[in-house]
Amino acid sequence: MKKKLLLSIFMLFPIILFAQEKKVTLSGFVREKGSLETLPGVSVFLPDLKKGMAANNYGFYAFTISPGTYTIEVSFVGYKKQSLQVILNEDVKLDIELENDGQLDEVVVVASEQKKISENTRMSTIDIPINQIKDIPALLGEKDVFKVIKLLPGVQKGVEGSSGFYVRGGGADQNLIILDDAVVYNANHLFGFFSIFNGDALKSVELIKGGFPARYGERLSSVLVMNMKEGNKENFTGEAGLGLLSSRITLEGPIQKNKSSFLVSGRRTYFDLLAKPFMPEDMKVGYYFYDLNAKMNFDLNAANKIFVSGYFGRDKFNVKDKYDGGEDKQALIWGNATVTTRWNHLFSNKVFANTSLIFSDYNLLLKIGQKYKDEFYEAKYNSGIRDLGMKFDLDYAVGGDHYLRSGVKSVWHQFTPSALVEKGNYNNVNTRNVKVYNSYETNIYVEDDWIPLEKLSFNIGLRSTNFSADGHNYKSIEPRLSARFSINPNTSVKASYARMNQYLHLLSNTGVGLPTDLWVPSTAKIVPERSQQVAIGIARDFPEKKLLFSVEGYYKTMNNIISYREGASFIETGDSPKYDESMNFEDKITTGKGKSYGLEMLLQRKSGRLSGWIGYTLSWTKHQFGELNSGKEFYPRQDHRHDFSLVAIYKLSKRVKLTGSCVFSSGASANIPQAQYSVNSHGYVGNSYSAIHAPFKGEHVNRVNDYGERGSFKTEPYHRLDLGVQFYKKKKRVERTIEIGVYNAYNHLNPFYYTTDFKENDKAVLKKVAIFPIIPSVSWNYKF
Amino acid sequence: MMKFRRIYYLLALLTGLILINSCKKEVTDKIPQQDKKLVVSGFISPSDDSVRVILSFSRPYYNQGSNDLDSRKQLSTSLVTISDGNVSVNLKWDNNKKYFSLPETEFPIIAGSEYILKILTTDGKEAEAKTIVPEMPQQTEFEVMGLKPSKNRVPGYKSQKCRFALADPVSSENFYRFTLVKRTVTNGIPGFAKLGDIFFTDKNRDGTVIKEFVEYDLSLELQQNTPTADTNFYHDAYFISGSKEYNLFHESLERNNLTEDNPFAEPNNIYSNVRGGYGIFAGFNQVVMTKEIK
Repeated sequence: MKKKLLLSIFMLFPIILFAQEKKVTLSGFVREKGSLETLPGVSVFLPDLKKGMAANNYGFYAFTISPGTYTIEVSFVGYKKQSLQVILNEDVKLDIELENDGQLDEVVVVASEQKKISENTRMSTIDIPINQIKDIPALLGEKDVFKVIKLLPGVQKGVEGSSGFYVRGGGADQNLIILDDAVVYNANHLFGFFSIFNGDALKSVELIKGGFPARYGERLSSVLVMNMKEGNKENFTGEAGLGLLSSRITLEGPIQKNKSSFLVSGRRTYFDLLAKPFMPEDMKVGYYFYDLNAKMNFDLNAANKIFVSGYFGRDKFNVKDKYDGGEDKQALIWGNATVTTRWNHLFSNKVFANTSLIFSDYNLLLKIGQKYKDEFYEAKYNSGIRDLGMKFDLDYAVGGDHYLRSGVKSVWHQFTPSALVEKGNYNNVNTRNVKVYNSYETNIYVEDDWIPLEKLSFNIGLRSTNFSADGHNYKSIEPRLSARFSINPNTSVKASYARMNQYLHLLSNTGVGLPTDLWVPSTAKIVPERSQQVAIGIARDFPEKKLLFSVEGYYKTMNNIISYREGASFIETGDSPKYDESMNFEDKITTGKGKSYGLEMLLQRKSGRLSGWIGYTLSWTKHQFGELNSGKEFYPRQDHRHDFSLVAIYKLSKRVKLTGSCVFSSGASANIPQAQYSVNSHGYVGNSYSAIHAPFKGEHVNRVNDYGERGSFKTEPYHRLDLGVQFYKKKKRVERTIEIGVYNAYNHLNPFYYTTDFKENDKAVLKKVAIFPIIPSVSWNYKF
Repeated sequence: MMKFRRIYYLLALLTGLILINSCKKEVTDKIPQQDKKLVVSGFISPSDDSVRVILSFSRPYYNQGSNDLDSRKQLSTSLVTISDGNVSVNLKWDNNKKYFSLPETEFPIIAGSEYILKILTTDGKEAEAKTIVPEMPQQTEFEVMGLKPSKNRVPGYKSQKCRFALADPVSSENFYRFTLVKRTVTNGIPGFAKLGDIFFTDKNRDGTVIKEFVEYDLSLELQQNTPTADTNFYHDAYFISGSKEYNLFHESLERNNLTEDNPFAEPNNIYSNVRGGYGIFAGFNQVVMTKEIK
């Protein structure tokens, strides 16, 4: 019934909208001059009609309007604004090329202009210019998208140094991370100290925290949309960087000039290579990670384009021991692979379509090899998730104040919680034990950008979701609404509502981002997570100062969210057979509900001599589970009352840029033992296979700890200052930047975790463990 | 599965490498601490020969010396009273055993009755708990089944499966515990090894014959018991019908004992039904069935 309703709405839209006066269409693509790279999110504005839109992810824009003469203004951060006049008597296809402002050509960039936040219907959405990501000082000089996202209001940090983030009180698994349409399931290198995204290969980054358009779903709390660069269609160019931890190189250029291009970008750490000579012959330990991004695109003709892009990344940690007559090898390897093939097709000037074939894979592999003389033993253990999906999106510039989007996405998820293959001749092992679960997820959406009045605009959408797994089928309808009302040309009031469903859950009880974190599907026992969020806010532009200001209040409820039962762990350490059932994840988790509410403020300047932002969040997040904390509400670890961040990038001269960021965050909720006592049980309770005194007769004393109410311990506030200076020099064919940075400039020891130590007389003391004191870094970057 | 844990060994090693440069600093401010509380341990059953209640004190976790947690003696002057709603009796301090007790002959425990335990210490601390004693498990059956290949342990070894069954009465929720113990008797001296222990309810099986299986791996069991010519082996099957608080307490304790050394495990508080303190006062009833192992 719901499907029929959705179908009817979708079919009715064009019929209603076509029954209007004759219209003509102005459409085209916005590209970067010099590379012909399409530019997503560019503001295309018709001042005569006071109508505007943001180019879609492929740089496509379209207006269906009455015939006449119009001025068209095209602007984007980091690019010179263009103003053109067009005479529209019939459909016109107009591709626009924007000129890059260039790096430090002028100390004061006057031509660059940013999208006006007050004119955008959507709220709770932040796009981050890639150049700013590259400018913000980072740990060991490794530029990281996630670290920058954590500086935004509404985004709470995970633990120190970690890339994990929490949006508006949601869990770390409630963020949908998309790279070129492919979902990335584990975006961390080295326990989350570094994210897998190489800034050199990225073209755009957008974070959506609320007011979700219907084209996005699948997670409760946020959508992070990243697009890779396509590659320069005119010239062969490159970029290389040399840092303390890793080096990277990006090459791009035309395959056929102005028709097709490629991009290859790679990064690899090398402390394993540096440490190797210092290791003893009989014991080798090594760790490295690498990323490889590649993309090709082909303009087949004016109406058809093909893109093929991929990401491949791996972390590898290996240990090798040699001894007399034998050898032991162990390796832990984990990583993602994504491949997206996209076909852009223009059905007409007003209808743009994209079809994507998507492959995404996350895999953890443990390899063990033991050899002693003629005997051997080999084992491989795998776990992971693999997606194979297809997505079709349609943009339809219907006219009559409407811009319609619709689409369908279908994904086959294959979960492998555990797969073990063993071989060996010393105990005649030949085992193959593979557990695989399949599920299918299908989403259909329709979305309309509707501007009924000059001052009033809406983004209205409906999304239908269907998920099948474990013999169960879950369906849901997700209504979406965003509205904007302009109080004056630079100020608007916005409101939004979104309902979201999440069918996939991440099992992780560290919050750190371990490779062992496991994605599992909704099942008969674990029902889908659901959320509803309302937000209201004010957006104000200060065009003369290039400032954007927004203040938003939000209230979000979350149902069926998961948590571990008390005492549960997915990292088992004992030897009881109970542990061997650890993959039976359903028995270890419990479901409950949560709510989050708060206020966020952002003052942002994306261009100019001084750019950056100031963000502040005041928020509360509470969880309630029947089986946890005696059923009482508690503050989860992502609850931070205050979050403040300041990011500043200052162009001191043509050659010198000063950068800095400063963060403060209230303490997080945590659990530590608060009391200890001895209690007797009826019979011995614990591991089986234990020798015991007479069962149920003697006294079995158990020494236990009491943790008080959940979240009753607040960690100390987190604060840090990072500073950097960039020295830029342009030579004949090469641009060189040397960056010197200091992470944690005033050496504040922020807690990574808390632990208990014992002093004399068995006296327990609580200690915080900090892993990042002041850390200087230097890196060299070349562009050619 | 044993091999899987190498993942955690490798992760621990990698973590160790990262933490080589870490700094530890003692935290002295704002540590939440629980005040000293009474801890009560008491299990009552019609099948037991006496009522026994053990008292002690808890202590704040941090910044305390290793003073003995077993503070039983200092509570010997406390007033410990058990009541069935009609009759209230004070338990007596047993100086040898260091607990309060009362013989079954002076205060018989009856299945289906509710009992209230009250404690008043000489320094004025009060605690109270109540429990209902369940009926005895009915129509119990115990069967030692055939050997089967061990699926989780060393290949080539067998595991022993045993079946427990009882008739669940049609009533409100019932709570059960089945425990399998191997009793080894050499020259009349018994030794015990726990082979399996499960807790469950009659949810979705109310009024039916409930069957549960306990399986143990012979490879591990043999490591602890070396047979001799004079040794006899027995399977003792314990069918325990527990009160709700009996099961909740032991399940939480089991979770705690299995994960107490695991730094990644979620914190686990031990269930308590004691108002004004920690611990447990719970009723149970039990049947024991024995089969000799040939």
